[in-house]
Amino acid sequence: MAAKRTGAARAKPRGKLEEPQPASPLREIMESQLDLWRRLNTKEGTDVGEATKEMAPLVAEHWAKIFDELSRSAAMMQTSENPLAIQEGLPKHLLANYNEMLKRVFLSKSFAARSGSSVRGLLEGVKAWNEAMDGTLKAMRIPSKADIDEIHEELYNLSKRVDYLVKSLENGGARGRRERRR
Amino acid sequence: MATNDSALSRWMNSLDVLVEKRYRQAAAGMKLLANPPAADVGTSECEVAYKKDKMRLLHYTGGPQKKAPVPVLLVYALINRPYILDLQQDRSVVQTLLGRGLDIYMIDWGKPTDGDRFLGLEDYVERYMDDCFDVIMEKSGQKSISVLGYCIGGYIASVYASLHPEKVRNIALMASPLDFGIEEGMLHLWTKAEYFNPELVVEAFGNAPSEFLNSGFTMLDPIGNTVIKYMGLAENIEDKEFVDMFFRMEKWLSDGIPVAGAFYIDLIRDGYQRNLFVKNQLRVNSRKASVDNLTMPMLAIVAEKDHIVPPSSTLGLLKVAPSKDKTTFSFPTGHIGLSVGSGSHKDLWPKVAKWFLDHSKTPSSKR
Repeated sequence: MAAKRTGAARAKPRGKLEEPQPASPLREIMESQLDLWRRLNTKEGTDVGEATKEMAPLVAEHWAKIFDELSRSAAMMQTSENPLAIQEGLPKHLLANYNEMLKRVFLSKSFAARSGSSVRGLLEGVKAWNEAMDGTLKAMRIPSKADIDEIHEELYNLSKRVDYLVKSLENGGARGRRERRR
Repeated sequence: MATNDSALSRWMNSLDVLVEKRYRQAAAGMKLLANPPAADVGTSECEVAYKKDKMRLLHYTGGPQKKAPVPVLLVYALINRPYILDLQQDRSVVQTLLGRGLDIYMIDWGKPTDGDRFLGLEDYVERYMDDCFDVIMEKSGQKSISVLGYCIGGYIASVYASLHPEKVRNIALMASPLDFGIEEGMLHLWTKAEYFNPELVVEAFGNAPSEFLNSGFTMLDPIGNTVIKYMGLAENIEDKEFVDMFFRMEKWLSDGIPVAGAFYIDLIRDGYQRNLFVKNQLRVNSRKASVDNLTMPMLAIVAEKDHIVPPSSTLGLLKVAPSKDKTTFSFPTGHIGLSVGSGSHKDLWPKVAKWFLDHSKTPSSKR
């Protein structure tokens, strides 16, 4: 596993991100994450591959920003009167940056399409379960959810009708009173 | 090397302070776990002026004895509970408006149950809201009253105003999704017809469950809503005012209610996906809800950092409405910050109260 990570770290440099950086655990995480994206991206024609194309630049940008901030903070800690304050601020910055990355991912059309499809699958599953339960209850001659919904709908229509009748009576009554005054 | 040594010694020196602070915070955290604050909410005095099914019309009785003649009806959204507008004494929209002499009513739509899945926009506008207007006009002796809609409540209020313009004296729309044609924000993207079918939610669950809605809202600010806010609590755990407010907010956030199925479909399909209202094509109970009828004074209250309802969505209606008296108050806060932020209560709400007072001066005869 270690050998594999080292191999990833030696991948051919490409773009600003992969300029030589001091070795660090974060660097290793970044490399393995990028390596994962690359490997997923080889599955051409699959959803994952397509998603990777859109998401990989966001992830790369996110890590680039984090490294910038780490370098800046390290330099500031050397001279600051209160280096701990800088250290304490760092996790907040990293989380805020991660938050922004996720927001950008969620705001992408490809995420909307994929999450839409997942939600649809989930909802179809719930529907199928409901139908199965209804079928079972019907077979046992027990009122099902569909039966109760039917009653609810009936009650709703009745209460709506009553409301409109009451309102039209009230309006008619008010009109009648006005006409009598004249 | 000397620089590194001194940096290290400075770091070591400040470590003591940090460790002490963390111990104090941990101790305060333990105390908080043992005795969490009561988080009382919605404490302003009120009476129920009208009730129908699960809806209650609240009439607030506090504030100065002599009030402005034209009442203001607060129309809350159908998501979560309305007490966000009356969260705590010093951060209460209700209190701020009452304190400046306005007569305040608020609609609490109640919590829909399975039997309410058939309630649609038409029911909320023509049955519930119209009844509330009639009750308030009767009680106040006014021919028309003012209305302030928050979030989806603003959508309901403006549709009502377009159908019954004679009853709406002034309308204020606070962080309300109205123009759904904008290409901004995650909700506008996720609810597009090619990605999302609201009918399927209702077929599966009856009403749109609060957990389903909340998961979407959480994703609008994923780390902010799940990690950063708790870091903020840890950092301020010794500040009683902060902790009390935090618990009140948490209570509100976790007090979600489902949205009635038919209304959910109406909102997503006719609003988010087709934008019928702003396009002047919305029909409610076979009547056209015409934006051309929005001739009354209009106020838009928008939050500049609103990631739920982008300001352009609220302002879009003002662009198409023919009213000659339009005002916009834009405030540098978020969707919820508008109603509970200390800055909002210091700088924004007094201005909103003044706007209502200024627009309530013309005497209104009895019905």
